[in-house]
Amino acid sequence: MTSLLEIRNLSFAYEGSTSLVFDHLDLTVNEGEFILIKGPSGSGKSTLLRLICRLNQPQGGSILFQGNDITSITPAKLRSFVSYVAQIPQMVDATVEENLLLPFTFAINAAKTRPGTEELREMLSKFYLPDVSLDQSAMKLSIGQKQRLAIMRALLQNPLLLLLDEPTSALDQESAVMVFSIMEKLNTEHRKTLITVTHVDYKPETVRPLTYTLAQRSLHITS
Amino acid sequence: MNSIINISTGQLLLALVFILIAQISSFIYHLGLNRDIAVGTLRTFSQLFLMGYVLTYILKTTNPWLVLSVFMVMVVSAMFIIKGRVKEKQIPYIIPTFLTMLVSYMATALFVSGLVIGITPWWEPRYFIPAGGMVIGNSMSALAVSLERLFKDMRQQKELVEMKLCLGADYREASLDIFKNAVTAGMIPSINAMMGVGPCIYSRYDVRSDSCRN
Repeated sequence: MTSLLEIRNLSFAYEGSTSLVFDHLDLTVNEGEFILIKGPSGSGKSTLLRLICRLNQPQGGSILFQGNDITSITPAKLRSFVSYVAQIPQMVDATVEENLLLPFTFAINAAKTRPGTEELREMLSKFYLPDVSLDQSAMKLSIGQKQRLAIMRALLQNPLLLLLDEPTSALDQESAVMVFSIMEKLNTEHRKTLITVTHVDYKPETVRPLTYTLAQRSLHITS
Repeated sequence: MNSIINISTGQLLLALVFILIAQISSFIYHLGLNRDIAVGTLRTFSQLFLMGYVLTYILKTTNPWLVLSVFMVMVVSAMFIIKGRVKEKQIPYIIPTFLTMLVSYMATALFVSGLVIGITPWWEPRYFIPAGGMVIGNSMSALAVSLERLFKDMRQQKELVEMKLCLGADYREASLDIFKNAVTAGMIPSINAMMGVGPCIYSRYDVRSDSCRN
């Protein structure tokens, strides 16, 4: 059976730098898995996710998605299957609904079914945002609310793989607990494959993740 | 009143009084512009002086290659002026911008001289060079403003562009708003000039001809 994602011999250095961030890094992700990547700040956790969705280009090695080298897939098509949610959630200056439906304004998602207003309202409740109305400005939400909205927006595209970059680093404890709970539900209820990078001490309650530590330019399985 | 007015060197030098005002202002308010104004004035005088002689020769030429070479020099000069104004070092924009300028300026100058004015041959220097000069001069500032705005907004809104890319946008979709704002910023001076073209022409005409008042 082909893995959903396979990283082989990955090497990467930032532009203008000779020191490698990754050297012969390998990772295999199968459908339905919950991958947790831990490591100190600056170890390259975010960079790894950016490489997977082609926001950065590796110097060596290969990344295969469903058996195909990601360089053979157009970035827009790849990102309609692999959704990346950044550490600091970004919203356009528009309503909550317009932000949630933003992916459907892009050509690559034109054929996908747009969720209706009722569906969006239901999802807002599930994402611990019951008091947020669809026609209010997304810019006025708190950072914790924006983070949940950003994850919800990524999920609406129905991606096969969700990449969450330090999803709780900018949040207070209460919001962080909600986001962790959402992540676990995405895996258990929505059957989504997740790769989450974090430097906080997070122990999932309802899922058993495959935990890796990023150290010495490579990944090491810890559980 | 269509007669040509001859302006003597003394009269021309009288225009320097405005430079003198600028110099005095800079001195009084410690603007630190005295050197730049002096160098700018000297350069303007010497360039126009030299160009006067060169143009006298070029405007009479019957060699199309010489006309096109002058046109090329004008485009290259415009490119260097833009390069001086746009403070972008990482993105290699110079060659694509130069090619775009060359093709679009050539097409516009050809259209104006060959079709709008309808001269034969189309490269007739008395028309082609001024038409090219007007096109290049007017669009040069617009291009510099647009490029400066484009690069600045791209850097400031990097995270927003990346967010759109991650949601499936291609590079055009992800940077569409930034592109629109950059084009608008570049075009505003031209649009403003078009909006005020009536009063401006009237003021010019008012000075030149009494018939305008009838």
